[in-house]
Amino acid sequence: MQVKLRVYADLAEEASKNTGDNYNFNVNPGTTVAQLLDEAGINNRNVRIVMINKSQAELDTAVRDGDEISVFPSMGGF
Amino acid sequence: MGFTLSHYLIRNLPFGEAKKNSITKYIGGIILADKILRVDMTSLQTIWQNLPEKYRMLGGRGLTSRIIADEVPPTCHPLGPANKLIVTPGLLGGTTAPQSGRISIGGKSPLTGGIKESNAGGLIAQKLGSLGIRAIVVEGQAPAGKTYLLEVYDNAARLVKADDLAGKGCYEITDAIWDRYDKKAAIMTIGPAGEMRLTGAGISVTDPNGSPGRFAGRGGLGALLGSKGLKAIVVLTDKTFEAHCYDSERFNAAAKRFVEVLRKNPVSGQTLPSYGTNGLVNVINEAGALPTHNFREGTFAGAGNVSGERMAELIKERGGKTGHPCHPGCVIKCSNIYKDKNGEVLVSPLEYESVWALGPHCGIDDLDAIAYMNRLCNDAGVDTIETGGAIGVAMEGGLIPFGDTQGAIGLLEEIKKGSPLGRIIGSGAAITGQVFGVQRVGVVKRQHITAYDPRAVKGMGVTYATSPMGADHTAGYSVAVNILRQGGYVDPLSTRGQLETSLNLQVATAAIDSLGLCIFIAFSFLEQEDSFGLILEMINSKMGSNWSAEDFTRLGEEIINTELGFNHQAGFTKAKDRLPEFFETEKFPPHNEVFDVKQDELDKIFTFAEEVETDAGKAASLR
Repeated sequence: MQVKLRVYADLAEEASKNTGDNYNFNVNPGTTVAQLLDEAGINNRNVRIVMINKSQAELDTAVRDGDEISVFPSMGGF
Repeated sequence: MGFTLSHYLIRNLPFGEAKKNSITKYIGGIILADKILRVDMTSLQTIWQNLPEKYRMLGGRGLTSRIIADEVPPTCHPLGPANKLIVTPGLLGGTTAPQSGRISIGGKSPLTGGIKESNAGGLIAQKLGSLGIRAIVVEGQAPAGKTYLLEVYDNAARLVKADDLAGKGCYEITDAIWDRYDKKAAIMTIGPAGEMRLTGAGISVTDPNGSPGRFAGRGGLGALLGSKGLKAIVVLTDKTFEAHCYDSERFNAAAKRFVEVLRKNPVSGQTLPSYGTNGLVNVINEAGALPTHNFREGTFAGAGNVSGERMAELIKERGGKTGHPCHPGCVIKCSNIYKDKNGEVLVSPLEYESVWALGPHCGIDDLDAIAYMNRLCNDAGVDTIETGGAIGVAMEGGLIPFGDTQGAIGLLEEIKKGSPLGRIIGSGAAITGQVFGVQRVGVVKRQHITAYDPRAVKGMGVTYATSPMGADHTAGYSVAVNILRQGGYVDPLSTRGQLETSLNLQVATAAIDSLGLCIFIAFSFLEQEDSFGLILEMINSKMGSNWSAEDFTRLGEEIINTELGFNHQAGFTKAKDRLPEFFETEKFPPHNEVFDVKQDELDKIFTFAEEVETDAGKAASLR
């Protein structure tokens, strides 16, 4: 099944990816966010925020066909 | 017996009436006790007062709100002679504590009609703290049409005529004052908007690089200073970190360890210096919570163009600066210097809330144009959030289309000119909405909501609704827990846990705002166990006190109670603690949620009020 991954801020830099770009992955059913990130070369330990289709999710959430997954490191501001 | 605010007020005027006969002239020499500098704009006299004992453990927001409650009649007109403007460094101001350079400015808000504290970075807090000036109280009113400037020296202060500065923008004023005095002068000033007494006017504070871009922007406090006839305060001293410490050795050890803790934290040590606060654009957009086109939807197609990552790239390409400190002693360095395509400085800093208000809120995705609009706001001396909010509302009302960058720039230029249209926009979103017949106006207590839609971040909605300050994200930043997963997680789309989240953050924030510490220490506070102990150690070693965690919490509760009491006496009822109706009726894409925290639940948020009431004796021990 096909999913899209978007990586932001220092996570993108560490993985030499463009921040906010869509990266397409073919994954098996049951694949978790953590497994997807392993495949994308992103260190799970640096991931603080996971969103799937604009909703909060966890590293062990299983992705589904057509999902759009966004990941961020620790972020702050305001 | 049930709790009532008026009953509470009688029991809990913790510091009593200001003793007018305790005012004494400061005659020089070594006085370790801190002072209050009273600036009477009616008689044009400055008077030094020894800090009353009841204020000994108060600074920042704790002191602005306490003095206002003690001395300002709650029903006075905010622009009249009875209102007062209070300027205070925090309890840790003027020390080497990292992040201790926030200046709190308070008064009865011309925008909300309630009590207000707004704080900023810059040079002035560390200078006042070093001079032992716990507060400047500007009172009375200068004769109409007269403009003054307050000079503050190591052991003296005076008002001087400044009619030549009238009408000038904040950038020009800063240069003129530097030419007249010293490049090291710490300047606090208003722009033309404050002189015109527009309710969107803020107060500018210069930073170590001389940019007037640090703003105590919220609540129309620039209009209050303008109403006094005071254009600027200039602090002329070489002292920066010379506040008196009870035990310097203990203090310095704690401050040094606190620096290490902040640097170790991934938010304060890494993402904030890299992307500034604007790193939030992509996060909040991905959470479907970025209010776009005046609160119509939660995602913005142009978010990437205005994001912190894009901003950092442009700054690097053009030779600007990220990782820039906004005040002496800042180790987080979330500020930046943003340059245009030709390498000229456009604005410093460019921040998330400003980018949102002037950008996605108005359907604008051109970061250079947003930076230029921010500069126009700074020069006229208006709050970027309130003014961007007003422009979005004007777009809603059909004055110009959403996404019309040139039209928005044109409206901002009208503010400094003082045209009728500029005065409307410069008065903020509520006034603009009234003038253009708009129903969708995102204000609470007439102050504009910020860059997190309360339907997609419900804890933030609770803070917007209930804070005595009006819609103010900094008063209790539930986004940290709802979206950023700092210090725990509460589902942003559920109503569960939102009251407790907002309450705890509002109390902690009130206390932190009293210390003069930058609120971004909260990311460390929420995540690192040693952080809180070090803050207490810094307070106790500076003040010779013995505060516990409980005392710290009680301080935050007392501040909010004082503020609620003032607002109550000013005529605020619980009906003011509501979000605008459309947040409860219009579904917000992509989550298609409404704000559904029940109104009677909102009314119960400040649970500690009763506890303090029944334990007034203990509360008194803090004073």
